[in-house]
Amino acid sequence: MNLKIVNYSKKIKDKIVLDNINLELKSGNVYGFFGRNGSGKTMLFRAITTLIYPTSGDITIDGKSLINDDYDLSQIGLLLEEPGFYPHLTGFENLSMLYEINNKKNDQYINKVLKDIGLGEYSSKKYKEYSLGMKQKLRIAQAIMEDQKLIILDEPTNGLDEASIKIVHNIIKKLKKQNKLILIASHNKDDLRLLCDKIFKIDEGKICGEIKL
Amino acid sequence: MTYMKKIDIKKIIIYILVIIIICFLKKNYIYSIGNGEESFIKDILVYWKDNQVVNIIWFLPIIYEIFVISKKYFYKLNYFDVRSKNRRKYIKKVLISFMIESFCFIFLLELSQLVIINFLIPNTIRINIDGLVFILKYVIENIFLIVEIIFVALLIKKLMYSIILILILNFLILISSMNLSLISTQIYIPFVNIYFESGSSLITMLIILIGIIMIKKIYLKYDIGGME
Repeated sequence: MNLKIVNYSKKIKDKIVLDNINLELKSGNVYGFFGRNGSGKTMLFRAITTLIYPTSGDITIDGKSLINDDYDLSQIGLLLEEPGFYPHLTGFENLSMLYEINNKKNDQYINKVLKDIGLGEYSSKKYKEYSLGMKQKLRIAQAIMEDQKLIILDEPTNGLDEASIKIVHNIIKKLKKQNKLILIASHNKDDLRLLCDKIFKIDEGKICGEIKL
Repeated sequence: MTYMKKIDIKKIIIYILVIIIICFLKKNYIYSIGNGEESFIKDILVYWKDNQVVNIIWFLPIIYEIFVISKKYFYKLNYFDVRSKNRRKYIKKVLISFMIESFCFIFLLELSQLVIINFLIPNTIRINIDGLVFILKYVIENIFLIVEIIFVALLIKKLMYSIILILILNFLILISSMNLSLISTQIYIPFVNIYFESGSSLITMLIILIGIIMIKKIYLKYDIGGME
């Protein structure tokens, strides 16, 4: 998979939130985006998933435009906002519900996903009874459970304890070995330093170049 | 997983309680019983007399249904799961589900009122063609309000403002029509028309269709989420 962002700019109410972004990102790599709150990291991820449309520029995956070609976005695993979990359903039921959007059903597999992320023993607990860390793990699980080729994770280790962070790091390393293209936004330097092949600094909607942490 | 699991029992209990309370309130003010089944059906669903406080009771189910449905679908439009493949496929799915659900929800709300009030004031309702036509007309005119609300909410990105704006606007037109006799059988004003029983809801259906097309057009250029 080859993701290209070409001269991408986005203006919202007179404010330029993404300013002439140009990037080329390839499978088998983990790319990090580092910047303070409001620098444009999440906005860039919103742009890649077409949650926002550009004022100018384009985004392509393997030459196909995400803006104009009705690209199949189900190849993207996304941890960005609350993925529409139902509070009165269990972790297992919530994942099954998302898994069934594209008419897939495999209870054994869902249980394995939950076990891998460290939620095995809480699979029958209601989402509203989950702790912050458990909710975050479930969000990560839904982002990676469908063998997506591009994985986008916004602040993946938010609210996680050290043991859980290790689990998430190992999962990301495993996904990289499976030749996935992984994008991570974080203001946690350790996450990016330990996981990423390249780290870009974002400030005021601009890519300020590659950095070493 | 079955669809049933998505349903929150608490919401169903609230729904039943709201209907029962509305029916009890309405029951006390229905005077024109015995004027024929169609009139009874109409009295249960639309009612307008000099007492504005009493009139508000009849607006409660309308406010309730438009709030529940517009909130649900405005949320859906502001949430896009990449599993839905792309926006075009997603909006199509959402709009079809909106039409089916809003029709069923309003129809069920009407039917529940008819059944409960008929139980509270024994008056055997036999649904004839005219009664059924009136019920369907009521459903269509209420869907019109919801389409209006969602359309304006997408434009201004605020649901509550849109609900208040559309309700005030429609009620103002209704009150002016009632008090000043602005409306005649020659003029068709959606929603207001259910109080006058003039004409069919074909114009409203056309406006709903245009509204749906406009919602789709706006949504395909709509930015989900705001600034960081």
